[in-house]
Amino acid sequence: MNLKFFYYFGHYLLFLKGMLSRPEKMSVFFKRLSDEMYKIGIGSLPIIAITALFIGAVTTVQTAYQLVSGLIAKSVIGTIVSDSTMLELGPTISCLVLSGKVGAHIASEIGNMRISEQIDALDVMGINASAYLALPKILAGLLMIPLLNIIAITLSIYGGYMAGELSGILTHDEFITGARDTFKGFTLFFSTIKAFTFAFIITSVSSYQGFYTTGGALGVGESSTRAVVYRSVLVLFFDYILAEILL
Amino acid sequence: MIELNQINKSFDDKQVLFDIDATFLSGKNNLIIGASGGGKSVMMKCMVGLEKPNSGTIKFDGRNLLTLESQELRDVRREIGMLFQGTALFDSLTVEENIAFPLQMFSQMSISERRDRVNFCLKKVKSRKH
Repeated sequence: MNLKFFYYFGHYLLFLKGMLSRPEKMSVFFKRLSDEMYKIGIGSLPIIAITALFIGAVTTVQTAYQLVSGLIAKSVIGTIVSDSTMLELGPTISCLVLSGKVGAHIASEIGNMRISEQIDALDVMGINASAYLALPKILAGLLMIPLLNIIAITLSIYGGYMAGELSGILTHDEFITGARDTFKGFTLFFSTIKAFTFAFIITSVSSYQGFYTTGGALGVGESSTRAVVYRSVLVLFFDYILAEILL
Repeated sequence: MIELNQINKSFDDKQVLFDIDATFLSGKNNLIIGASGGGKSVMMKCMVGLEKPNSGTIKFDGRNLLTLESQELRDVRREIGMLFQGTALFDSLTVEENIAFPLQMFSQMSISERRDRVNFCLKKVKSRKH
């Protein structure tokens, strides 16, 4: 394996370790944390809502299309929509969408600060720049992305229900029966664990890539692009790892 | 007092600083002149610990910047002020917020005290009339 991987992985871990210090001023830290929570949480709500509603709707229509046997109850569609949404579509698709929206914003914001020497200015003032810039973003992601996941799951199931009802694929009762009958609390717990893990990947990898941007505007573009690729691959990789470990 | 002793700094195979020795006394004004790309900014960055020299020692009031732990280095930096070539102002903040930033981070001043101080500074550079 390429030794560069170990170099960058070690560098990434040192970046994370460097953040673990007491913030210079707690009031400033909490202000920054609440700003980031608003940006990540409220700012991402529209795109997450639209994505989730359509994913649920499409899952209902496509599942109905494949259920050609009359021996299978239509309520199974409700089961498939709710379970697949909680297990996979909710956390993974919404986190891939967030990876593009939130991650790109973080990487380019911090990258721009690096090339315009704003991070150097923080360092010279004796402020732990990684803790000041990246820590609130990572914590905000860890708090808000699992919440967005819950909203995505709810809206996705609602989208599936609406698509079934409006197109006459199945009735209200059939959908609800299917969704409720096989519900397991662990499925939702697993989904939250996934969202939590993906949130950490999205925010920390983006912060790291932005923090070590080199060059000018071209460098910001390169680090943002690199961050998108790494985040997406890592989200999919950990999606599989978590499924193997926990299911 | 800042003391530079036998400072060497290179980026890949390009050596920028060669055996630099210098002493900057407290309370004195010093001027560094050199050709463009000659390493003036790199030397300044080495002096505040933003760049690490390949060899040599840099002492700030007797403390070797190159051997300090990150928290100790941050403490030393709080005694240093540096104006960057590209100004390095926080572009997400207003002029007032930029001026108030260190006060907000390191002082216990109230909001009104900070505002007064910012206005005082702005008046000094004639950016604010009253």
